[in-house]
Amino acid sequence: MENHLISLMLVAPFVGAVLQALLPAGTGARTFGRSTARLVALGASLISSLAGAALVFSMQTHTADLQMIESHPWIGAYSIQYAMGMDGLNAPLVLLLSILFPILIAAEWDRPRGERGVHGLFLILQAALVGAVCAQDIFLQFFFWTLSALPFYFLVGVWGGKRRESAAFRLVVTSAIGNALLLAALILIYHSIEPHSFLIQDLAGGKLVGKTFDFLGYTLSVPSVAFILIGAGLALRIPIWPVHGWFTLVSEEAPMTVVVALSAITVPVGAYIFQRLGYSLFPATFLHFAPAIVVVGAVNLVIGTICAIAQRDLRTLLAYICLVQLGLVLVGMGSLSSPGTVGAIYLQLVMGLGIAGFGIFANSILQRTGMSWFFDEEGKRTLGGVALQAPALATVAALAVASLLGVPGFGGFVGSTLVVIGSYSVSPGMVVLACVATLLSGYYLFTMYRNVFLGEASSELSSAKFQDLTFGERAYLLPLVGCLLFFGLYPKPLIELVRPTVLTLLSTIK
Amino acid sequence: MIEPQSIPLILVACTLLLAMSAVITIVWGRLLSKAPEWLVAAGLVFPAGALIFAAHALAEDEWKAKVWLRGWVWPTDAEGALTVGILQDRLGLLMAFLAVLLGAVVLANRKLIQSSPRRERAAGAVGLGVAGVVLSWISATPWLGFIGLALAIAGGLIAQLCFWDDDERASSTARFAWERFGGLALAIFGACGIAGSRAALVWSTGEAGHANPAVGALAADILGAVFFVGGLVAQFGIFPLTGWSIRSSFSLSAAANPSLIWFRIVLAQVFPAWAAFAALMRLFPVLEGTELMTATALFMVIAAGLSLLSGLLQKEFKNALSVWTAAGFSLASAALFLAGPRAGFSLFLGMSLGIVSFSGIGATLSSADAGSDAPLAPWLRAAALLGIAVATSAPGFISAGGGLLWLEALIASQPAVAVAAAICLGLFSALGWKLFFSVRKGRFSQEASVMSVVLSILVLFPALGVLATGSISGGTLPRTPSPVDEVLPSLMSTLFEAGPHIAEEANFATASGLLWGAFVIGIAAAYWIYRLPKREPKNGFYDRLSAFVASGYRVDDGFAFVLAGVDWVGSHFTAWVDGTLWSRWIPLVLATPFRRAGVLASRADRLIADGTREAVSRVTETPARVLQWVQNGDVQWYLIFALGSGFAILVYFLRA
Repeated sequence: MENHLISLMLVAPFVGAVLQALLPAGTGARTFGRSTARLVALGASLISSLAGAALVFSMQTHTADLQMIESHPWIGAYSIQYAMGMDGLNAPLVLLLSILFPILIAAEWDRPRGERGVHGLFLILQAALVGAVCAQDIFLQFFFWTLSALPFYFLVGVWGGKRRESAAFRLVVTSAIGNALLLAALILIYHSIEPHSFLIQDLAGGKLVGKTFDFLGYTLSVPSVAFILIGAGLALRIPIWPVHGWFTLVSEEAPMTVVVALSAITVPVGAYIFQRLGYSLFPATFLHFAPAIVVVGAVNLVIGTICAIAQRDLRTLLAYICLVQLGLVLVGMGSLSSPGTVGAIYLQLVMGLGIAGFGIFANSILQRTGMSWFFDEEGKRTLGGVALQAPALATVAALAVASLLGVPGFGGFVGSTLVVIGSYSVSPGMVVLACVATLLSGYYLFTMYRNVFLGEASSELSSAKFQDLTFGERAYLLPLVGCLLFFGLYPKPLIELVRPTVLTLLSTIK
Repeated sequence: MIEPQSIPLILVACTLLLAMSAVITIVWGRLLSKAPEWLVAAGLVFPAGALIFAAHALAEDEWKAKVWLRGWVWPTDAEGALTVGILQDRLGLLMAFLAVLLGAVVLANRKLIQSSPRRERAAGAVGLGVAGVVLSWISATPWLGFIGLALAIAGGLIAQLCFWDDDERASSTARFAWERFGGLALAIFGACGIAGSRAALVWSTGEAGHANPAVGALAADILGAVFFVGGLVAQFGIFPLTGWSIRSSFSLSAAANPSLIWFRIVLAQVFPAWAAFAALMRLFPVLEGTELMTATALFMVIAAGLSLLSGLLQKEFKNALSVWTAAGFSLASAALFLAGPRAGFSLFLGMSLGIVSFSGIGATLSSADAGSDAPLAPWLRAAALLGIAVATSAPGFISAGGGLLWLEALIASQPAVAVAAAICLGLFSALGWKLFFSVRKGRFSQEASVMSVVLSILVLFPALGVLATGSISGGTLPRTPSPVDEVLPSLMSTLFEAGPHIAEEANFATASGLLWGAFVIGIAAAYWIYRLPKREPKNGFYDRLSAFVASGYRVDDGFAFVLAGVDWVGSHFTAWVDGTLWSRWIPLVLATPFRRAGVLASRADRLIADGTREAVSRVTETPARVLQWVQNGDVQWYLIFALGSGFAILVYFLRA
């Protein structure tokens, strides 16, 4: 019997987005219209989130089979199906989407102008990413993944800072190039097997092994070329050094919630797509390229850490933190050991939550002070003493920082520990690098915390009253912090969901 | 009736209740009560009761240690499993209980708690610290131990956050957090490395002194073990991590908060050290006899010596006290690794309790400019004297026995190291007694109370030689084979069944000579240093050397230089990649071909258009001109004549 909750997860935000456009906003009804629109947006997102949570909690553990399957023909002539399903690989991502999108919408509650546009675009983004995560047809997945780039263009280009047009342009050009590479891979794969299919289950299990094609007189391997195209295409959408320049500019110019949506949600989804396609469609190729993936992850880790130390702005610091966390995920992915791979998947979830916590507290500071840099160009402290005036905000920030650092008891500890355990047997040198990166991460995060929250308030802040978290802010930050602690103290249920799938996929690879 | 199998869960639950009471006190303490420390005190009752109950259950089973394990992140039997577990043995239960008592003593000193600007934070920090130490001592696996260590560090951090509105103290707090977190991260990475290729990492099968065979390969995994041990040792704050102890230079003045000293020592140093020492004690059976252990112990001896030299040159009482505390823990750990758990534990316990007692008294010191001395001054000085005596291995206390065992073991195996250890013990004694002389001459605050004296002395009771070793002198008199002054059963003998061998007579005499010699010379040196006239520092060699040593051997400057270098590289990477590459070169590289192609296409288009126009124009020009001539009549008649002539010629030839 088919389960339609995934479709509900997909459709509810779309409907909410459409309603944002249709709801009245005229004079006299302005306040009513605004409140209704906001409630509709939050309601639509929550419906999707509740459906996602219900799906994850009702999944059976200790099995690698695809669950919650939903499948209908879509474009029959090209064997494109509307195929959705969940297993241990994407369940954590579904949880991530379910937790974060209502929080992001709530964080934009008090936007003075254009909040309906922002909410509508976030809802479209939520639907697109749900589709990308749950799709079991690679064309469908590509469709939703490409769709997810569009809301960012408007979110950055309309609501961004002074260089918003440049940031939006750079984002969309890079995304377009990446998506083009993905499309090329898709076409290559489609034409390589008979009968043609885009379904992952039809393509999985080494069906592409041995397939070749001719290009300009050369015979090339389909799996290798497709794998490289997919890797390159995804690398342009998520911040892989050095093709991350668009990401740092967007982090500087976009609204903070958009930066969170990009770094805490889209990046883990991109990593998941790479993992899904790599493990399922190209097991032998993934095995061959695994050391390279580890090297790419190590480069991200090391250079991200070095660059983060030099940052004086919460926005760019967040961008480089994302780079570092992604590096760790790639290292875990490339280790091809069960702890490492499970750790990488778990880290996608907790990395997203930790980055979201960081981004949201940075957003709170930005909204209250109008600035996000904690040192000006002359090296003088611009923030400081925030904890005196806003202890609740300081506590939330401390917990987010603790999770990002992998302090025991928080989700980050479980993910990073598993990655390190899994990587150690493959390359002990990686452990040393990761250790150094972690120590330096502690340095820049504690420095940031000290300069923003502790000590005497700077002259800019001392005269202004810095309001602590409002009731509304506490209402959405408390679940976030609670999740960080929950996933750190009781990871077993999720691990038991993820592990069988990983073991099955790794057995195919090895 | 509670089942014995439930005891581990009860222990964990009660510890968590204590942690929760601490958190509630920190967050809502001000709103809930005028004396929020009572909330934490109530929380202490839970683990205390659970520990007593667990000990009773263990006693009924002839003190056989028990282990309870659960898979946490991975199935227990899988490689790389992260398991949590509770180890019930005499040592763990005793130390956990002592930690609870210590927490109670700290809370009972209400004058000091009340003097803190944020009482609820101070009290909560005590609760977190105690919970962390309890968890560390009862954990059967490193993973739960790490959570305990993290809680203990959090307690130290929150204690310092009572003063977070001051820039200098904020920097000091951030520094503390980084150093301790760094050590914790290092230990975690080490444990991950060790856990990677073997079954669940567990301390003990439950039989005292016998390590889990699955963990036996630990010694072979050098990198992981180095990180693990290094991270734990880093919690002590010895050289080269003396920055936090030395650099925070705010002076002890009447305006300064006396509770700050006590919180720094007890919550920020003693509790995390207790949590780290728990892991070292559990690690000992596995590392015993390996080169790693010997190398680590030597490093700790050298580092303690360097730290103590630096401590002797500190001007600030608080800084010297911090360094002295760190060095003490380092020496005790070195004793553990070189002479076994009995020696190490004896030294550690004696030093810890002496330090806590003395720092409690030191915290009631006032500035020299304050009014008359407190009425209880003689009692306070007596208590301070006792605290220093316990810490520096005076006869009659457990630390003396530990020091003797250590030196005996070293003389038998590594005589040169014995001399180095004795020198370090002498330096430790010198710095401790120098601190005492500062207290002796200082004035005490009027706030000093009877409770301060009583609690400081009470803390020392477990360190009494007769209670711990059964011998009045603490095990420092000749043995036949038991010490000649043994009057009670030895607690140490029941805790550590497999101890070091009883030394030969010659080693005993040499070791005693070294120990007492170090002790006496240390006191003499302390007095001499204390009595040295103060003079303005000049730029001579010895002044520069003193400044170098007092600064912690400029290690901090080295760190700052390295970090500045990393910062420089990072900023240039950012500028080059984000700025130059993405803002200039990539647009140039991507745009230039298109732009050039556009220019070329435009030129080609213009050329083609012009050429086509030219060709069309030439093709049509001549006929057009001719027709134009015809139209304008100039050639009309010529054309008619030409046509007529032509027609005539044609007709002629046709007729012909």
